[in-house]
Amino acid sequence: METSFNRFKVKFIEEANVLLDQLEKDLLELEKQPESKELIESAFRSMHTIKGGGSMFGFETITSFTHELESLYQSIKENRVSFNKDIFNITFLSIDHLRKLLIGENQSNPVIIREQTDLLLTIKNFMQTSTGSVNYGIDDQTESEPGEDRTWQILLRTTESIIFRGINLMGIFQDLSQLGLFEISRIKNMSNEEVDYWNIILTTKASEDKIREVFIFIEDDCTFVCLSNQNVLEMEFSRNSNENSSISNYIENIQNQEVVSLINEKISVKNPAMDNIQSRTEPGNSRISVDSSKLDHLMYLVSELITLNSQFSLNIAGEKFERIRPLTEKLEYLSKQFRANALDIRLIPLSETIFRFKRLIRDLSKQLGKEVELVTEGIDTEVDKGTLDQLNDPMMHLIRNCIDHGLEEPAKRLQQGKPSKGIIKISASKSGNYIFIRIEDDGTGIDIEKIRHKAIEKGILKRTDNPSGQELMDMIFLPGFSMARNLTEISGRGVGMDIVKSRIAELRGEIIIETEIGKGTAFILKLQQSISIIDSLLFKVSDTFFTLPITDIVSCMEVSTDQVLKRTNTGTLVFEDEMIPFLDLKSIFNIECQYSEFLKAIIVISEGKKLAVLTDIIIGSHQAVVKPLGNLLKGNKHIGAASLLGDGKLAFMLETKELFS
Amino acid sequence: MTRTYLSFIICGDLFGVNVAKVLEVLQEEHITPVPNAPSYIKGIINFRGDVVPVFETRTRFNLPARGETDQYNIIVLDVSEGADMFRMGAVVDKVKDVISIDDEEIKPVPTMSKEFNTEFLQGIYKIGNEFIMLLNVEKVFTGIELRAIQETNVETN
Repeated sequence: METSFNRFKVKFIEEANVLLDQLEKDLLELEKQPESKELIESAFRSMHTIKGGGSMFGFETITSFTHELESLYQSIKENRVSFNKDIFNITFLSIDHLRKLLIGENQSNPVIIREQTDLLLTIKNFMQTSTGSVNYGIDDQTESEPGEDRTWQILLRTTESIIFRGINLMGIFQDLSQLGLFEISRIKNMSNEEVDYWNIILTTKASEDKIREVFIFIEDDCTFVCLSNQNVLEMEFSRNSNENSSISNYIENIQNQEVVSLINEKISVKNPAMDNIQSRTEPGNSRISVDSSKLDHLMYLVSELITLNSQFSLNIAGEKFERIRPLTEKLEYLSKQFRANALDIRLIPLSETIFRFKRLIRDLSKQLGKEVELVTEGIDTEVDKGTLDQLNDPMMHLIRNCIDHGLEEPAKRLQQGKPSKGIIKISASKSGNYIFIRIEDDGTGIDIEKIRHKAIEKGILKRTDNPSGQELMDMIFLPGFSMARNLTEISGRGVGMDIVKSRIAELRGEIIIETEIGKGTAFILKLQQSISIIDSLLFKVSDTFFTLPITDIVSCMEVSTDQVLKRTNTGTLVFEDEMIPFLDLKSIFNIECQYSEFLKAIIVISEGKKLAVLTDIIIGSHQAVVKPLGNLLKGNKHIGAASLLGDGKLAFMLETKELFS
Repeated sequence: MTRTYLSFIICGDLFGVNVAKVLEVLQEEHITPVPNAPSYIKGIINFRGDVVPVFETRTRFNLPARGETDQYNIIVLDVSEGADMFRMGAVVDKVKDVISIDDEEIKPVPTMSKEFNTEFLQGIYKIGNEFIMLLNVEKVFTGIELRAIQETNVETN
């Protein structure tokens, strides 16, 4: 019991964060079009759900706080208050505050509590000055509802999914009690372990719309029937106040069967009204959110299938298997498609993280007194979920850099004949298995001469050295190498460019800078779309198998062992009129064997540098399913992971970058 | 309380591990040696789709090395280290059988030869004329992790 409750709690925190993201997204849109009723509705719904879930899972602080915020939005919804800059600022601060409340023990953190008191005061003051009175929103609203008492029967169907969706039934009942008198009973003869049916008899003056509003999140699971234009409950109460359930029993008997068939019909047939709501909250397609460990397990099963398949193919050579060969080919084709599909599931459009940056850009530009416009292009390009998560921090840092160091103040821009509004452009594209993400500004650009001076000043470079432009540019990524004249609060802290680079390298990616003085700077991230299966070249030394990613390989050639032995003192080989260093796998991995007369050299490239990897036998291409080696073997930096071969043996996946160090 | 133990032989001596920790016993599974790995790591295996490191118990217990053609079994275990759990294989000469032992019948570890680290044992149990040395797997197979990394670093540098 305890554990399942905790699971729901974790689920709630997850959902609440998603809702806060959604709320933030809506607000950013609302800033542009404050008139949009739809957006206000959507924002309101997010708040309401957070409030409901909060009280169900013991986040009382969240509930009471969201309640106040909700009241403010209720007033906006009813046109008693109109949006202005202060409201947006308060709401953004509130979102940040709620995010903090969702973390661990923060609810009882005195600093956070003080922050909450301050925020609440601001919200209340604000409502008082705007509307003339503190208004408690929805709760007070309905009391003045005109009209006659009517009695409604609401049949409610509850399943575990209600809890998963973070819906707070208690909150719903609270809201319902504001509408009028109601009574609820469980319909015993129809409920079972998975589904409960509830009969709610409500007497209210409120309109059907008002009632439906209370049930807005579970409307699909409800049926509303108006029983009478009189207050049946009160009549019953006055007559028989001790047995006030008898009326519902009575109604239950006459109505249930019909209503249940109604409700079931509603669930099986798609409700167009509900579809509309869903498409508003989740633009694009209908989607399903899944625990990522389930996806990992799917990937594991797929990789096992691929491995088994290649084992299978190896074992059916020879004539006697002729008849089943077409079948195995079909199996192979299917499993390849299956693999492609499983990989595809893990892909998420870049746009999912971009909205976070919108907020960052908004806040930063205000803080720095700069005018910034975010332009995006191709952000529906899809990236592996894991990669995307790890990209967040580096991308945020690059954007910070662009705004802080790249873009000029509006006045300065006008002087230079540029529009006062600076542009941050995020564009993405796909090429083969690579994703390119480009983050650029139209600001000052990076002065290479300044880097040279700085490098000489820091003693990294000698006055006589003559490095290329690219080499100078790469110095930006050295630890502690800051180009900022004055460290501002924004870029002077947090991750540095060296961390950005190492994060990207962890993802087997690269970062490239393009810059032009006075025109702007672009950071280009080159990443692999998927890093769990890699197209590799398989080769071996004696009985030890190795792989290298195909994308890192320039060429393969044969060299005579004598030739190599003669050159051991320089450690270089000649490749296309170039002297390139070589690395002998046999010696770096202490493998005991005799090389034959000729060796294979695999030429790999990383960051523009070439290296020849010497090996015994090249076997061929291999779809390497990446298997981490675990902590025990982490010390072996040349080997990143292992991959299973068709015959059950394991191959070591070499880390191209590490081979150079 | 009675617990079940899996008994096995290493260099003629009888050892036991708590069955609760054992996932599977593998026969002559192919072990891929890992270049530059510490000596007591015999290599890695593919176990249910994951790469699992395999320890050579003979090296770990300072016993004579295993011959190339000698038969062996791999016991796959889940070992906990603090809050973490990791999976590993232990190469032993031969797995014998499964026996039930009452906690109260387990005798304390006597003084043994200097070569053998008595910390590895949780106790001794006498069965007929033989003694089973019950292993404390947490001691035998953890705490090495850090050392393994260090040793590998030294070797590659």
